[in-house]
Amino acid sequence: MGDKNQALDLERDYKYGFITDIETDTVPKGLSEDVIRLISAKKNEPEWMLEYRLKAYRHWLTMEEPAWANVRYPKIDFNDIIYYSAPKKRGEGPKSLDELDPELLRTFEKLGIPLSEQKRISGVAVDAVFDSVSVGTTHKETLEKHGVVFCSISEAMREHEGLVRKYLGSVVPVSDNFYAALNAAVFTDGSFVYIPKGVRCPIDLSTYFRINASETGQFERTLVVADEGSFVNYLEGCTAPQRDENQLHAAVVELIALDDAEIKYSTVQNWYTGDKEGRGGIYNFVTKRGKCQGRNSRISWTQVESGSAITWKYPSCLLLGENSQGAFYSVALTHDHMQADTGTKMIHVGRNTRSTIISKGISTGHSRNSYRGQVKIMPSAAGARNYSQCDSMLVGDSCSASTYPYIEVKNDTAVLEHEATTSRISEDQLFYLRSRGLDTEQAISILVQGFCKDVFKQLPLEFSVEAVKLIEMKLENSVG
Amino acid sequence: MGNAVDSLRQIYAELQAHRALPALAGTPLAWLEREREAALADWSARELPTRKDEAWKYTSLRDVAESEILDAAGADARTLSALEAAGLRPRSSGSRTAANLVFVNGRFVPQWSVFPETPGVHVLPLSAALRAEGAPVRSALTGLREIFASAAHKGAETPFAAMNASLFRDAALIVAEGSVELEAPVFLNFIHTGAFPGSGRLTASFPRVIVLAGARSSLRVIESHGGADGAGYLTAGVTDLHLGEGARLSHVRMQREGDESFHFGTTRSWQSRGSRLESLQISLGAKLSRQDLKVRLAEAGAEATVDGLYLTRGRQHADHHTAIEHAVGDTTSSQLYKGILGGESRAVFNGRVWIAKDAQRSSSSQLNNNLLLSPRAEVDTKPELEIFADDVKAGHGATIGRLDPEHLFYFKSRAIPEQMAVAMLAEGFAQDVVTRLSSEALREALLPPVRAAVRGLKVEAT
Repeated sequence: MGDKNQALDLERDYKYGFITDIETDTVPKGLSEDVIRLISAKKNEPEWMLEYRLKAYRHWLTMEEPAWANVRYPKIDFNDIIYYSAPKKRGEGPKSLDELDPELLRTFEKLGIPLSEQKRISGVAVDAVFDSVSVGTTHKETLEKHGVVFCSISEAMREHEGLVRKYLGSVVPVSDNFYAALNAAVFTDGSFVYIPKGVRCPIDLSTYFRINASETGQFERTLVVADEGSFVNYLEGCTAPQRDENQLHAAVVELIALDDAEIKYSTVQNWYTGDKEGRGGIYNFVTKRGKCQGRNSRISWTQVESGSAITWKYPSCLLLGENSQGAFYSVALTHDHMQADTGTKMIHVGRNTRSTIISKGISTGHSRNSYRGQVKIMPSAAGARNYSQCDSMLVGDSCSASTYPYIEVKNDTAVLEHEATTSRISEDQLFYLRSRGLDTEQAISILVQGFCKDVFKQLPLEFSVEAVKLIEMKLENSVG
Repeated sequence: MGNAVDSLRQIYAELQAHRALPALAGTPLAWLEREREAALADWSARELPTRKDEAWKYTSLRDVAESEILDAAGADARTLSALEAAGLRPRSSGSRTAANLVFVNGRFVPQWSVFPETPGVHVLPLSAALRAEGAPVRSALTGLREIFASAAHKGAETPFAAMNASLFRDAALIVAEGSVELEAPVFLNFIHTGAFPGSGRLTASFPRVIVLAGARSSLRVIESHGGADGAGYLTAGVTDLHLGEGARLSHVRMQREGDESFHFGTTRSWQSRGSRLESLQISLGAKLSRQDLKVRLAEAGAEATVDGLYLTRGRQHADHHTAIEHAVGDTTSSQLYKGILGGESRAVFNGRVWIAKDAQRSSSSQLNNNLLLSPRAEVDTKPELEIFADDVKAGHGATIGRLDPEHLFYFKSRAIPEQMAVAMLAEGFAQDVVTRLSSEALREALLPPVRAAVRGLKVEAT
């Protein structure tokens, strides 16, 4: 028994908490027009991109940090952040994975993403983002054959300027919110995906994010465009090294689905949560939004949020096209002193638009877990339909769970249902499972998996397995 | 264009200068004076909230904020005869009435009121109570002070509740002594007169109700607010309910204000061990109305059933905010709010349930159902839960939709005209908040006006 406890203790500490020592090419701390010009110059960006960034920056200066979320944290000093950090390139830059910094490759191995292995066997293309610049992309050839573009957004700006210029900021405009404006001003890299007309992307696309280099805020920008009749499954997973200073992560993800196109976007988020006393950890202030622009288009967000000291994230769908569909499936687990304020927005504009929201929150320890969502039916959205279900589970008596759904209906043909429950794992259920020989931890794990089942089944298989393991591991630590 | 807060500040200054407010009591009450001043500091220092304030996100006060506010006329002979001529004098509701108090513009009208002696129950205007002697009145005032002092109710007070605290002229006071049971309801009628429509002016009244239900007492109260259509006025009412140990209180707030009026009502309930509140808010009138209902389940075993019904048409706007605080464990709350909306009307429901840390074994449910009869009506609903204890049962639900076409078809196939079918279905939808009431006397008193109001609703094609 003693050995087992020890094993649990080892796991409790952040599994991926290590810092890779490689030279980074950084700009000085702080934010100014000069820093933005420098970032833009370092990335060889076209003039319009610089203008875009400066416009965002000037707008950002006029904005105030939002304070409405149910989270508390010390004020962020935006001039104490390094806004650019890129791994140094050897000569012309890597032509293949073999040319990458071996240190970097070892980091990925430790993270469980052996690029070289995955390339061969897994069938998953990986655009690994190390700090802020993409360093390796696999499966390029397979994708190229189908005309699928999957590359870093910097590369896309050079190779597919027309597409980037057309769609960047079309879903999340620079003035959208404080962190989105900041991101538009300073983003250094991210992924770009374009699926051409009628193409069903042959493999799942996946990006692993990794924060490295002390004091570097990470400002990722992801843009996914699914042209008419296309389909893509996009996976995003995160881990980050352990350190004391809080780190800001303000990413923006934009999805665009044209006529009959479908985008499935899945995230497993496991950033560093801070230590037992709530020191350190990542501030995850992310803007994610999808636009169902075309008729019959579909976008679904599936997320497993189990990390970060603070999560502030509302993956949303703008349902413009007739018969378009949006979905949001979420499991948010908070433990120790974590705070999560997460949910979704479904804005129904087109006729017969449909949306589904399934949100499962689990709070343990001293954490706060809030669902905040909005369903808005505009006058034009005749026949719109929404179903929302938000369930919370509390484990222990020092945590909290809150639900703040905003439902606004301006069309009488719409049908909306919203349901929320709060409960805890019942003694009866535990007793039943224990009487059949399971120990308490196994029993809790089974019950929690049942609670989250509706969300997990939306995840692609390998992600689903990972998510279950992650939740199990986290619960082992938090349930006494 | 006037400024509401400025003109109200002026009204207060004039009333103070003429010692018109302290005259309420006949005797100077230092603590009441301090309350008035403290509340004044609260509302007069700032402008009315705007839609940028989260609590007013869906309700714009612009029409009120830009109006000049006048002190409403007193209950003099001319006003009363005008009301009588307009058919607004409330009629006694027959034999099943324990008492019937009438207030015009917040002032007590003795000649229209009936309050027979009932052993153990005191129904009277506060102005009279303060002159009287005796233990129940004293305890009523102590109770009142306690409610004033309670931090839970002060927290997120609306400016209108604060205005009432500064400016109320009189109040209806109902005191039930311990173990007294009164089946027949007590009626409280508040009638309001107003300024000419289109004058950009509103007259203001500040009705006040205090109910002190003693230990193990049982009491029913119907509070009704009304006024003439076309008259421009503002009502800012406050009702304080204080439930002693094991007390049972049914409280109905019926709002049938005139169609050019603005109605703001705050109801606060403070509940002791094992007490049970049954609250029903019915909103039928007013151009814009807002009800804030705050319940504090302060001791174990306290229970609150908080229901509401709103029927809106034309360009009416009805806003209901509830806040139920489970301050300790083993407390129960249940909410059912239903609305039917026609025309270009808009309804807002914001229900908040707050379960305190260590309030274990609390149980709470909340449901908001909305029926839309018109393509231009709008519903904004926000059922919130904030939970800090783990051994609780809490849930909420909200639905919004039209009448089921299949139900309508069923009626049509039996040769029942559409308008009648709609009326019957809407009636069925609306009346269960009334039929849930435990008291037959209350159901009898409320079903006819609710049915009449539902029949007045019209379905509009999309």
